[in-house]
Amino acid sequence: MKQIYILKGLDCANCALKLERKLQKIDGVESCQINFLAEKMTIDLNDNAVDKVFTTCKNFEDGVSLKRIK
Amino acid sequence: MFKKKIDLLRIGFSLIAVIILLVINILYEDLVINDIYLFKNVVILPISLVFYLLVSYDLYIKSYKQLTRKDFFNEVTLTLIASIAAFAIGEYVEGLAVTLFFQIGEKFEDYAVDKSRESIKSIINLRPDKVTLYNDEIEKVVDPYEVQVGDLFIVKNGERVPIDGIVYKGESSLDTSSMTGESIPKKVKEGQVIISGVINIGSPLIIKSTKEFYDSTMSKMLELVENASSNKAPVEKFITKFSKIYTPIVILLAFLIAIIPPLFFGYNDGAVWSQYIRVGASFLVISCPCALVLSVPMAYFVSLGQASKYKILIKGSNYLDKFRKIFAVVFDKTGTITKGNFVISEVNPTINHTNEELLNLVKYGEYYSTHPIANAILKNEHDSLNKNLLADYKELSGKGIEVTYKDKKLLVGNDKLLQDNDIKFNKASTPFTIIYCAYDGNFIGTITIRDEIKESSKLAIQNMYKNGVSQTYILSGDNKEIVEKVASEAGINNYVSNLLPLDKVNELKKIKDANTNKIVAYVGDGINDAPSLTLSDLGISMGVNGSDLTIESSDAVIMDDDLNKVNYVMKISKKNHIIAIENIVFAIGVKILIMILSLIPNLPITPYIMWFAIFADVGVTVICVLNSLRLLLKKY
Repeated sequence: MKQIYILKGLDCANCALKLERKLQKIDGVESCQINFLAEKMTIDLNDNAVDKVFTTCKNFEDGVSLKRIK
Repeated sequence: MFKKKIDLLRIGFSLIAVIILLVINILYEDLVINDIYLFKNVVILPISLVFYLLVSYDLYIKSYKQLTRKDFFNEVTLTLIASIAAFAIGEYVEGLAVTLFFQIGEKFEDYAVDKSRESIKSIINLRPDKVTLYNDEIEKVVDPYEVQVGDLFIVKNGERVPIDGIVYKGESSLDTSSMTGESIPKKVKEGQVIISGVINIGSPLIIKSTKEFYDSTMSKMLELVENASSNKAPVEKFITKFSKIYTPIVILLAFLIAIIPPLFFGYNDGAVWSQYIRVGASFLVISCPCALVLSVPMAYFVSLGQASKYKILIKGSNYLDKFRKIFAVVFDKTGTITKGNFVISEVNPTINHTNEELLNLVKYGEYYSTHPIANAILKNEHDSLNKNLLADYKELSGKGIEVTYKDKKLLVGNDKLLQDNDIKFNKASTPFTIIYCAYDGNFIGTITIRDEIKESSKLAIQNMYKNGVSQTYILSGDNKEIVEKVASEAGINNYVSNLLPLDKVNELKKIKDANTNKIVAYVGDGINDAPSLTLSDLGISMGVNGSDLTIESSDAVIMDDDLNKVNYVMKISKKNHIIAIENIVFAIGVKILIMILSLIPNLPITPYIMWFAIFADVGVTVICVLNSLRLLLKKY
């Protein structure tokens, strides 16, 4: 299932890359791309991976917020 | 806001302190006071340390938090290790400078990122952050994502329609220029379909939504602009991969250099240790991949924004990149090269019939058709016709229409349609579109329809050749005379005529096969050409016709009907590529150069190598970002 999120609060472009790699490694995440400049995350995942994705993002850095738009 | 000011003050004071310290350090470094105390340790060290703590306390907090999250090799921690190393070997000012310039670099980066995000947003400031719902006649402001299909919402004067819908109540004029490029306001009344993105410039309208926000035309457009599909260009992919190996390798080298050589060349000699620790610390500073991972995507982000300023929306960096490599362009004719505004130029009934009879039959024949030609013939006369006289409407692709009118068979279409029905008629041969009409088995006459070539087409195609396009084609369903005339007027080398919609795709496939490994672009107006848009290497649709399929199958959308915009993007694409490559070569080049220089002992710059390392990190990032922003300056 493909979902799109607005992802705010990341510190830098390299942090976005690191988070992207972290999320890609989660079981149930098919693919994940974070566009740091557009503040968007496009992720293809199973339902049971959603919680893990959320906690990974929240724990990655302070002030990271996720808002699903699709 | 307050925090920002404090940050700026901290950085400002520390910067002044660094400059003063640097000067007095050089002047009095070797001054000995009180026999054993060096000036450096008595004066420079405490002042540096105070400012160091002032400027880096938040970095320590951050680093600690990252360590608790098991992220050991983040930029902050590495920078702090480098600064501690500098203090340890007695380079106090450098120790302070490493964290200070790291902070300055971060601030600048934030600023540049905010600026470029803002500039993109102001270019197409379409995204609404609220919708005024009007269910049960009560106004309620909500987030656009909360609106469901069937909800009523109100759009007042000056507001942008956020979601596709149908006018439920009210009459008004709409400014559609941001979506279609059409400058004449469009009048709407109850029951009419409205696409999102247009602005209400009249009285309030109550609209019933037919789609959810993210499915609406405007959101689809924004998705294109904001590059939601995140299709990375090859250069971006390279840099992503490179940074993945670059940082760990440089960090590893930093530790190896700081530890291994002193063990061999003098493990009991403090000077040897400080020499190599200094090199290691420099490597740590250089290991930050910021310049690389920001500057290349930044160039693409700015370029895509620049394109959207010209009402050209591109789905991803990889498509922007393909524009500079276009080898062949395949055009749809009607509405792309020509205006698509059909005009009746001649009405030729047979001897037994009048003009009125013929026109009346053709109007009934085209009653249900959505083809542009039907619009030209019918204009807005649907109300004056009695549709109850019609039955069994059938559209025959590539031929025309067959319908029962007053219980007898009516045929309106091209010559093939009449041939198929064994009707005798005189075949006309002109470079214009001819509509044949037959009723109850008899040929009634023909109507000639003209379509003119757009003023911009010829220039646009000349410019394409200048920009490196080698081959141009028209694929059209019209007869040879028409297509040949349009091709020669527009300056297009090749054309194929008399194509059924399915043939067009096959013809495109042939062109692609003849040009393997080269980019074949397809430009169409989005009507009936979704398969071609998808099949081509670069599908470009012109004009917003509101169909989801068109937007989904295109790689780029030109919102108005100016064909020359293709050339703008080709230029933007070329410029963007140059800047991206410049950034990569510059950033990697400087970093590697300074790593090599720091390894060579006793160069004139050796005592200042930490400063060079700081430049290779922060300075290079700043220069690359500024270089990317240069794309914004260029006008097309």
